[in-house]
Amino acid sequence: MATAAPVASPPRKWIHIPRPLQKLFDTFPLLAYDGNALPARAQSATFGDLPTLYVFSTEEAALLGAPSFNPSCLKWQTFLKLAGVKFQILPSTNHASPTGALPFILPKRSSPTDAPSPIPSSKFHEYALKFGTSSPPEVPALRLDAYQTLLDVPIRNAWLQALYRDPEYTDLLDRLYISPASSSFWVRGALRHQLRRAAESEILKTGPGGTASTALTLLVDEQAVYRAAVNALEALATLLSESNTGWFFGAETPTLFDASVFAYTHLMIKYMSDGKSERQGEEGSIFAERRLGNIVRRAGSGELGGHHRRLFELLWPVDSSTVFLTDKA
Amino acid sequence: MASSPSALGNTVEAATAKIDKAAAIVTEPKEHEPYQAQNPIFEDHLLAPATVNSIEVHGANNTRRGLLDHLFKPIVEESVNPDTTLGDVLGRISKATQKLTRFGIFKEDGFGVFISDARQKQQEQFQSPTDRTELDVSIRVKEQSRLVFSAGTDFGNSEGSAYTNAVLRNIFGGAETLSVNAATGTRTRSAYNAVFSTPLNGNPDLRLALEGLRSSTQKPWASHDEHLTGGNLRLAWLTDNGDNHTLGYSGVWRQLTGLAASASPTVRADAGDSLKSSITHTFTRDRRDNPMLPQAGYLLRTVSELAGWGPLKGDVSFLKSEVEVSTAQALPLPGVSVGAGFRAGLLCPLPTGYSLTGASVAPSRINDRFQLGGPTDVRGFSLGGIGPHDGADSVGGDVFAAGSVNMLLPLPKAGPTSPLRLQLFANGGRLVALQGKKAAEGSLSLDSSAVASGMKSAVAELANGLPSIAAGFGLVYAHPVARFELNFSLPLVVRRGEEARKGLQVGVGINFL
Amino acid sequence: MTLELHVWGPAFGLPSIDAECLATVTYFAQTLSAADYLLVQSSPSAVPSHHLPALYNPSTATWTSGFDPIVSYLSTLQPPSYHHPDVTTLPARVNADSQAYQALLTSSAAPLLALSLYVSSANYAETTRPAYSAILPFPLPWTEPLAVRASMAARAAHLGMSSLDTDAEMERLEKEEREREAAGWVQVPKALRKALGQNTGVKGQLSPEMKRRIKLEGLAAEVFDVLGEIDFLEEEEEETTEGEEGEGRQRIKVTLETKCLAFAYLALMLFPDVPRPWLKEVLQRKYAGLCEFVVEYRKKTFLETGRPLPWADKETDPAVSAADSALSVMGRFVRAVVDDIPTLGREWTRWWSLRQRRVAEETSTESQQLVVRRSVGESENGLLLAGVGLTLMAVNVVGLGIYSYRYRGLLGAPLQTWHKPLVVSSLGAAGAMFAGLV
Repeated sequence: MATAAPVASPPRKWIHIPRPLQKLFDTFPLLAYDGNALPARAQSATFGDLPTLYVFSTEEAALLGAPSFNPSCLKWQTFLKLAGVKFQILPSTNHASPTGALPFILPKRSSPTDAPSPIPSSKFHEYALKFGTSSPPEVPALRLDAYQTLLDVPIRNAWLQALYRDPEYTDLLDRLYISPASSSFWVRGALRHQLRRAAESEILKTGPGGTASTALTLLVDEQAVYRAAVNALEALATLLSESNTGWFFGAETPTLFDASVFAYTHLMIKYMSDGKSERQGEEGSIFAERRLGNIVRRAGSGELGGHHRRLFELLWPVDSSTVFLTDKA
Repeated sequence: MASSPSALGNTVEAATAKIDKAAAIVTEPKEHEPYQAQNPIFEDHLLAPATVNSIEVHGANNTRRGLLDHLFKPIVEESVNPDTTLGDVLGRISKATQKLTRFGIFKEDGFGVFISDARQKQQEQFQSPTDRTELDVSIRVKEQSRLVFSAGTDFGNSEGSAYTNAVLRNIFGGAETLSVNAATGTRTRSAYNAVFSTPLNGNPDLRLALEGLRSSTQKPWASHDEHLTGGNLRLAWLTDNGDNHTLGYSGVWRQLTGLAASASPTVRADAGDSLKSSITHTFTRDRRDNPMLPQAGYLLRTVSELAGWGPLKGDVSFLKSEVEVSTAQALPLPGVSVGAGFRAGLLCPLPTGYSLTGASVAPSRINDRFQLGGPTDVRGFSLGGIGPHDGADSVGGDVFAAGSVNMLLPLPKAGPTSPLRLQLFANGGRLVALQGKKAAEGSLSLDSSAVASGMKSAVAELANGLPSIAAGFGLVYAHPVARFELNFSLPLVVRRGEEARKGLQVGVGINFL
Repeated sequence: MTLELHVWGPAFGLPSIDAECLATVTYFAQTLSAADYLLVQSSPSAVPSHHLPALYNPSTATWTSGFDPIVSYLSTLQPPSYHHPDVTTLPARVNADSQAYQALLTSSAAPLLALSLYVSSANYAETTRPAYSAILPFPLPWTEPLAVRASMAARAAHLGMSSLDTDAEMERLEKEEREREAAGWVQVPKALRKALGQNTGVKGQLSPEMKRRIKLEGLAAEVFDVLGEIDFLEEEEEETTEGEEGEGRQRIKVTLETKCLAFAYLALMLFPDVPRPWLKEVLQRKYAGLCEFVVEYRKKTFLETGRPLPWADKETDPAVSAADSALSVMGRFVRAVVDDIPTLGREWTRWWSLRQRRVAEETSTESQQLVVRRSVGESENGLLLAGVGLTLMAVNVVGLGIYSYRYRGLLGAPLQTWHKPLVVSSLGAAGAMFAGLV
């Protein structure tokens, strides 16, 4: 009987029920029909043969499997694709995540009503190795940790500063994170304020420009943030120029580190470039224009731009690439 | 209770005597028909012409004259009319004092009405006394304290909570009330609200209330927490026959968050923010003799809500209405009664904007859909136990109907006067979700014709097969604060995925099916 | 031209108690001659950026703060006053690596140091707080170290080691207990509770540091292992490392800045005499190379040079005495207290620091500072003004309310009377006659 499991009543554990009564109990319910169908809204979310990757995205982009607009979602989306994991994408919000942050994977269901437990992004690496078709190479740990911090601190801070705190990108912020959440002016305002304060405290926590914040510091030193990002991107470009395979640390095929770099370079190039990107401005204006995409393209002698293009074309084949690469406002 | 100046003149003696009696009646503001039970001699006096000379209100130290004007000015103004009888006057005064108590700003025990004949006091003013009795009315009131703090425990439907409450009464002297509440409970992590309410036009039966609220509630039946931030504006009025209407606008920002690890994909898909902007009308007609343990009478309640349509905006758009009827009938045996209840509801998603036939309609979210089952509605099922389930989560439905029949019997020893009863019941219900073809692949929206046909088939589905049914017996204890039930029940009909309970179930609540 | 470098004061036998300041001082000591700059002992509340280290260039009235920005700023100055380290000849690789390791230091070593000196209650109470008290003018030791500790705790929060903060931990436990009692669900008598073993047994007597030892060591090892890859003492073995590409373990070379920063963090881990020296012990036990570097570097930079650091004299230097005057110190203290007011305090501080920064930028004669456009959050002056306005309005409304309550013309009276409209009596006896007729 379908309902036998959940209805086990607690008294039965400590009151011994005589056998005939037990038998009588077991005859209930007298009649069991098939289950109720799920609501309309749930259906696209609950059926499918593939595991679902929950990321920040839009409905249309998710259908096409386009890159997410959130750096850490894009990093893992890229890595899972590199590892040859098959998955479908569902646009979502941080509220849906068991850890409070996207992305996470919900494995496919074995039966229509079982609830698979979600896999947080910290376990994605193992997941990819287990279910992927190709395993991206591991790179030697030497220097990797140090370069990873360049992404985690200065480059991330610059992304946060540009997207959340720069008035020029208010529209972009609204389009990506605010408008999908609610159509209400007030809710949007509150969310925007919350996001901005959160971004600000994130930047301050790791210090202005990646240096330790001491005390009472409430102000972000924007110039230092951008300068640190420029230096970090230069350093990455230098690192890449040493590799003769075109991927970081001389790996044969792209690694997780390539995916991490790509996550930022792709978003910066896609959302924060302008047409005259190749113009080499004078030294001071690199901070003035705050176009992170241009800074990425210009870093070193263009290695990062090339790396981005190679990886993008590898994962998102040419026919669709123009759609995903340019930001349609 | 009532007194009058000692009567000296013979002419006024009779009058004051009858006034004394009348005043005694007037001071019982709760009594609805004060005159019908009087003897015919007294009725005779009531027909005597009389008029009000003056009204004095003592002790309304902090009550604005503007408020009291609404009650007493008409009485003195109408006294110009020569045809008023003593009965009319007393009736009016009685009505006014009843209204005064309903403002909720005066102490019940401090109330007193004194009536005296003005002619004897002010002889010189009435050079030629008419045969009309001129009355001086003196009303004594005691104001309740203006600031009250309280703390305690509360029982809502299947939830216990502890609260602290501060009430600021009669703020501007017009019976305005500000009530600030903070509560935490078994399911409510935290709830804060502040309500400012004021009578309109000096009428205690017409109140306007403005509320701001913020709360965080656990919804274990669907593995999430819901955070609410919002406000509402309500207009409530009481009709002359005792029906209650409330019309309100509310805007609430809902955040569905804090999902459990085992939350189902359906709940995950609905996680996030939404703003509900809606107009709600509630109609209540409660003719039960005792809401906790009805022996006779009936209750009719309808709730209609329109959200998101037209100028309302917001993120969700639907029309939701719910009907509840319950009735009880005492049987000839002492303390034995039978009762029946029925509830039904329908949620129809609407397109946003003004068009009703717009192309895309967003299906309902979990926090708008109905939940059914639980110790206070369909007994014998766990909370949200009936209806569509995704995994362990009860995801709710768009159409429901539920009914119950029960019989209350007095316990052999306690007898019919005690609040304890034995109950036999059978109840059942059906909760169905709207199905529909998607407007486009991968999109969440339906088109409006799909909604219409989906609603039709959902309503038809209600009657498909027997509803989910449980029956049992138990004990009922009707405390003035809440009704407690301890029931033993067994499910008779269930659907796969629904959570029925075999055995004991405890219910605490105010409003039972 | 004399540059003023404002830093936290000395402690633990090092020129500054703060890692970033220490790194800056170390860098200055090696690249500038002592005649060209002045070290000013300060605290963040005394400088417009609210962040130390802060460099003031009196000739242009420009403030620069933070280690990285100061080093970049120095490189724009002319050589007579500043000896550029030989950057151009270094391979690009060294610069890139230095960037990476510098980022690592600030993102990983800083939280580790925060755990040791600030989060750990025992270390903070016995070592760090007294050190701050010694370098701050009264009454600032009451406010500023707390703010530093709070921000340090925030930095280390992601490591999940807040239980080292036994004060906070006790508070949390007590609060939980109170809540449990208030809820009235579990009423375990105190005596019995002890017997149940909340604070007894071997585990109860271990200090939080000991309980967390293994995890702490793991955290430290993660950082030190990576730092161990760096060839810090290259000067001494310059000749040998050159051309040793073929050798299995290639050591990484870094710039002077990175060395200064690494030295600053490691020195503050190694030198302070703390009651719970877990970090120091890990360093000494397993990373002899790093210890050697720190000791050597300190000797070379501060002890053996024979040149004392150019600390500003409190008595004579006008810049310093102004900042340290009783009035200014009181002002800083009051601001810190105001900052502690929930919500409003923070907003006010934000507004104040913005204003100060703007003033500093406006007085500066260099325009380069203004290049970066203001962020969104910083144009919220209007919000603050609106808040102040609303508060004032609310105060007014409440005041008026009280006023009208006091002089309650409006609000009720002990006796309120309604009379029959005197249409009749007003006409006197004649009127009464008519009244009879009607």
